[in-house]
Amino acid sequence: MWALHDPAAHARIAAAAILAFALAGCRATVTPTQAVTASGSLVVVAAAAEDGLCRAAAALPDVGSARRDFENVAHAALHELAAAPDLARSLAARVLETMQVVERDIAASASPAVLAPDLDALRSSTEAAIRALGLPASPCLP
Amino acid sequence: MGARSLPGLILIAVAACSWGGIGAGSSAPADLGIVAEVVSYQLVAHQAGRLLVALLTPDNRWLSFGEVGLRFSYLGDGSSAPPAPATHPPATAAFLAIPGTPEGTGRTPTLTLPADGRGVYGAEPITFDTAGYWMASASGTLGDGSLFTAEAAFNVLDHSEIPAVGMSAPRSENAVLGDPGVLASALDSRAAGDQPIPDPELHRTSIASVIARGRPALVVFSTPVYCVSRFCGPVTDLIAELAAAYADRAEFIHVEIYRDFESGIVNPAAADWLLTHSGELREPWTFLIGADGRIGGSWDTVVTRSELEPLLAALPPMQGS
Repeated sequence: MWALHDPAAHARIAAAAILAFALAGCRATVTPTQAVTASGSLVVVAAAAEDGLCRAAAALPDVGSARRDFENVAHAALHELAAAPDLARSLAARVLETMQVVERDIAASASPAVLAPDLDALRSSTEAAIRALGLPASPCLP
Repeated sequence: MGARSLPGLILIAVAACSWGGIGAGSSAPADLGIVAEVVSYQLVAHQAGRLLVALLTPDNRWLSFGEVGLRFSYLGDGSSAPPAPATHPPATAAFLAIPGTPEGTGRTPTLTLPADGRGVYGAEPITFDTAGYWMASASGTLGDGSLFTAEAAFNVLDHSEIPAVGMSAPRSENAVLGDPGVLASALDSRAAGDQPIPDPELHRTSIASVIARGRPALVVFSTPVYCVSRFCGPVTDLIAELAAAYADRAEFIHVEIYRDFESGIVNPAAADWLLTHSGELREPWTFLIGADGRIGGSWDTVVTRSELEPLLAALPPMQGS
């Protein structure tokens, strides 16, 4: 799923591993909501959410690949982001609502023409949440 | 991602995982790095229950399919006193796929990416005789012969905080389609904006009504959009599928958790059933209510078609259905 000749691929793989460590390992002792309050861990979560959404958008028109990028990289991170205790519920709601639309598209095997704007909307709501938390939001790299 | 500092990320992750205390799990041998998390919402001493364990790896893979072994040790009741002796025999936990994901029938435990397999391992029935904190040690063999072990702590309550099997079901007047002043999104969070309610057949009657009419009911409490557990949508979809297949055997009801998520307002019926004394409310929960108005079964977190379908099929056809 990652192109290993890509210089950034190794960093992405490592970051994904770190993310999962933070998400899964931290649940060993805290609730998911508490997990994102730890100093800095939210940075990792936000980066993974953005990265997964960028990958999914870039994978289109291959909807299958987009689905895998969304489910394997972005999905858990988006849930963690929305659960950040310092995030306004209205912004959390927008993330979760736009994510549900993407999930509905994926479940319905929607066309790329349908999925693309819904992924864009999810990325917008995600960026808004990230910025509201005082974290840097990064554009998708070409 | 390349612009971000990898060492910094590593430090962040390590720091994020440095808390102590008994919660849900702990790390496994470094080779596979499988981490266990007990995801059961409630286990009660002296009551048969279902222990659910999720097994994940640091690179965002789930352990899926097959069976794993579970061993138990008692940690104590949280006081400073030495723990009283308490034991529980080993158990076997079978994979329970999140509805809509591959079940992997006949496969051995396998590490899968989320898109290829997601689920938990369940041991049922399982009864603990002593309330307090326990440790579960999950172990097994992957298809390639690799051995793994992962441990997770969990709490066994001394009394149920959620309506339990055998209890009289709360006669909740959950909102239904057509109720004045009730937004569609308060019936199903997926109906926000101009979206239709995906499963209107789950919103035609109340729990109080079916009990009054002496009809069995399968009731799911979930919030498909605002779910914390990430299992709500698949479980709700499963209940809708079963409603179509077994409409002559039971009534099927979905109670949305939130009347207004942004304001944090919970639907009263959800609070009736799920809100604990400590103010926690976890979802999803699924309950089977018998024609006698008593709770015949309850499932937290994940519930599968194979768990529910035999129970529904065993119900006699309803008169007037």
